[in-house]
Amino acid sequence: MQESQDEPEYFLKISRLIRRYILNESSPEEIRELTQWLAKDESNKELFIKLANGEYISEHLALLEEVDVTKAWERFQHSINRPENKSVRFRWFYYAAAIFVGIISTISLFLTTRHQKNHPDTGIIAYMGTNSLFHNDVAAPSGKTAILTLANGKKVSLGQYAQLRLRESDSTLLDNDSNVLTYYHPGGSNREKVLYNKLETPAGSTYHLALSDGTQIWLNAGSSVRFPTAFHGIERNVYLTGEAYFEVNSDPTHPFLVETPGGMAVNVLGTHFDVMAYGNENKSMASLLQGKIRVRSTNPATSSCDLQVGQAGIYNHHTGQLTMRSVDTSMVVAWRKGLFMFENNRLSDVMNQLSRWYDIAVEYKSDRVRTMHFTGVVSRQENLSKVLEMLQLTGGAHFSIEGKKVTIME
Amino acid sequence: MKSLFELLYKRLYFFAIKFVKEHQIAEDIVQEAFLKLWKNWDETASLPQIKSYLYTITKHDCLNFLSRLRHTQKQLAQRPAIPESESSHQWRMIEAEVIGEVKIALDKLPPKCREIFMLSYREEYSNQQIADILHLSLQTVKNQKSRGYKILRNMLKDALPFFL
Repeated sequence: MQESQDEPEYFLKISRLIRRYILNESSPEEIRELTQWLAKDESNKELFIKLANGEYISEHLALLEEVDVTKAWERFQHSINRPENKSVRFRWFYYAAAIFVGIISTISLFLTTRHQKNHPDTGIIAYMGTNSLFHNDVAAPSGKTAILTLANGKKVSLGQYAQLRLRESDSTLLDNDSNVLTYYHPGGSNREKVLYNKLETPAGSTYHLALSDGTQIWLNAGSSVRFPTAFHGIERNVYLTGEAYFEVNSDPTHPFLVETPGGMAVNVLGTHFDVMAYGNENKSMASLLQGKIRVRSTNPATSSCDLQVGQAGIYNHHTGQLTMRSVDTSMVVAWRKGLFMFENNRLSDVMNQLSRWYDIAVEYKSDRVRTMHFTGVVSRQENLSKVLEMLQLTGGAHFSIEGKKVTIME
Repeated sequence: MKSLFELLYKRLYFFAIKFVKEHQIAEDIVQEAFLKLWKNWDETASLPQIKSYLYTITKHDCLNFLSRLRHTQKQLAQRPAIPESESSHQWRMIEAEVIGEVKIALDKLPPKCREIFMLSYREEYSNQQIADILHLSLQTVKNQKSRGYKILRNMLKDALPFFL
């Protein structure tokens, strides 16, 4: 019980006793301790009387009211040498987009379908019904988790409320707060060994990652990215499986390189782009929204193409061919705004996207349905039955849900 | 880190300004203290240890600043240096801690609750006066006020549950 007044945390204990006294919560034991402290020194009593006085506290609360923590935090962010503004702006945009999605999904959703071969008239239907055609359903995922693998192989699960602050063995600091995982490198020696971390999203989850060079990465569902905790060499290399949207911090002396398992790589100077390279698809694709990138095949390293804004480079895993075409960039990054957006997509593409989000298996009872084409916009917040119902209402394909499996018939 | 900064910045600023009496300097010192915490981050540190660390560094830098000020500005020598003892520093820490905790708890009250609570606590209005100011019934004010106290109490019951 005899605690030294010199002990560093002694003042916290006293603060707690006083605070509890003020709020009328003290236990008899606490009152006794408080009285002992008060008896020690006349000026202890003085302080106590001041603090127990409502007027004194409220005056000082008013003083605290004027302190601008947001501004102070921005300054602090700046001092530790990292641009935070981007992610703040993004979050605002994300909320605005979420509201927008809510509005459109409650009014109506349009979906059209057409067969590729015989091009019948494009049908448009407005969806307004609430009665489900399905007996079973898969709920929309809640969507903000990821698994982080540290350099020593240890896995950490990052959830919505999980706060994490730790230091890698190369002294890089990791901070996971409000669904953003941020790396800070304190600087120093360039001769350090390069450490790699890996961030993986399960089906139905996306995650936001900020690398130590200020580059921001938004990882789509069922994807993983492997990256150095700090960048020491000339090139900044990351390895992506799945889909991610990049905002690369410009640094012409340190080119940024995204490598993918299918044999496509993207060279970057400083720019905004989306890379889709899932292992189970037969092609990889890089789409440019801002700046300049070069897409090339790495296996073998034969061809490359420089993209302009609004173009995509598509690499075919089987033929090894790299082609270029124009894309609607708003469609490419629709996932970041919480939407499924299809424009003349094969049903098999549509179902691949759905299975990565709802974590479902898909069985095709006929090959013809795979190649049917669909166009439409659906919120990723809807349950699976709503999405399938719209596909079904356009005719041509019939769906049934059994547990976590969807069967498709003509 | 952000939650930690938001939790502790105000009270440390308050603590620093009591020493240095100048906004810009207090701000600089507290920023510097957080930077030091950041650079020497120890993931095993508990919240009380972090608090203690930040207060100690802030105090140290404030005292340094004051002694340099006294040294360089002769005219200040005329002003009798306030006798500063270890325990007076500790009182300031206690003061900052108590006020900081109350502030954080108040910020978490629902807006209407807080408004009523502040009016009665700060301005010492009667329930009837508050009801008139906010155009509410007397009963609503009474209910919200007791709700405010209750929530506040629950929140202050222990150190804020924000760690890991």
